[in-house]
Amino acid sequence: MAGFLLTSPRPAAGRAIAFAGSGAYGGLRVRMSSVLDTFSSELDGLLARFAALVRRVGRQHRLSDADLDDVLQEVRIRLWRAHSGGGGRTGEQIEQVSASYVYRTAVSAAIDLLRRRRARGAERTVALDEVEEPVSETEDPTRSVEEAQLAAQLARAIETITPSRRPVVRMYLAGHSREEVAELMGWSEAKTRNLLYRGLADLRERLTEMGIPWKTTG
Amino acid sequence: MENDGLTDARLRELYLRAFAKGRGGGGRTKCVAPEAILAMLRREGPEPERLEALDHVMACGQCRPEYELLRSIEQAEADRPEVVSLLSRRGRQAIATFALAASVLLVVVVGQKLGSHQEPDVARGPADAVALLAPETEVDSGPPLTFAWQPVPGAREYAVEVLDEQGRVVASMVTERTSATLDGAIRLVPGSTYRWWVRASTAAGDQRASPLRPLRIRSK
Repeated sequence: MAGFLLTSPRPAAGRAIAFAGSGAYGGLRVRMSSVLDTFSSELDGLLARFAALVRRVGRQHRLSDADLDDVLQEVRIRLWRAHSGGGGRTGEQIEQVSASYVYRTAVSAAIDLLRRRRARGAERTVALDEVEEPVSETEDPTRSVEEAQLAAQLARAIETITPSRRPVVRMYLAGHSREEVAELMGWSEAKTRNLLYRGLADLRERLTEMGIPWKTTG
Repeated sequence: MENDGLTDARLRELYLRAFAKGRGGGGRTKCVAPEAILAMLRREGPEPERLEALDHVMACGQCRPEYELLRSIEQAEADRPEVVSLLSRRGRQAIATFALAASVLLVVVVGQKLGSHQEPDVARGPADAVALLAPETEVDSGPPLTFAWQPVPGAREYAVEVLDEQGRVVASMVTERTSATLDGAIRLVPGSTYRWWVRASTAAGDQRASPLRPLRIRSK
């Protein structure tokens, strides 16, 4: 058996793309392809819109495209499974494919993906800020060492911040806005600002003690 | 060490450097579980626990991208204009027809599998992934493209998919062989980057998938 098309050829950027090969089911295959193509188009459109939303949100903080691709793959597989008869669903249930359903599937797929990676010890997630900095032949080795020492001092200084303020300072230094902190923790703007300013004051004091002046604008 | 005073931007740069590799090394035994990251994003659980989780995540080069993935999905849902079915009536009719046709075909083709509805896990990763062989990540436009991969012991069939830059499936096929060729009369768009992958299914219903491999079509 040569297998049958899951999705029939579909225009891509103005051109149709198809795999070569003969089908084993003649007319049935053609009709199936047409039906599957419609479903696949709808599903792909829905996933593409969902992906665009996620990417827009994640762009600011370096969401890994590879991670999102993996999640979308999982979502696509799950939806295909759920709606191809294998999951025992009825036509009525199939009609309930909605953005909300895709979202729930995506969350579940993302959690499962992260669990599996951790179980395997796989570290496929590599954000830009995690990439090993290449050692430039022209870079001053002394400066490189000083940078590493400075970063280590900063890490130690942060550890001394009062625990209730420390995560807020970390988010600030990781590039998140005060509004994001408030939203995440469910705090008022005033409470968030207060904790951040106090936390930054803690950090400044400790850095000063270490001989590292900080011209903060925060 | 001498310096003229750090700016906020410089401090952030140093921060990312300091915590790029995670904490302590040696595995992730102290990392926050993905479920706990999700709970934190949803403001579920006591505030002290959420703060503790946040403190770790923001200092861990491995947890932070995971947090960002989950946060982006959660936020996208919150930003979605309205909860409506995005499938058109035509699509819904097609799906209903598809469900009927698919069930008939399944009886004919894989009847022996009916009754076994346990959801197989799709394993993906370096240890058990389907190994892709060809094509390379960048190819010339023109010649018919053949996709090839290593056989998986016990595999009953392989599904290969080609996705475009928006993640849409532009071609898909199921085959028992370990290669599939694109129709030579039709070309992928030069200058575009696609991705492709293969999923193997065994007679027992287990599935193994390859990672996504990019495929850039060179412009002439």
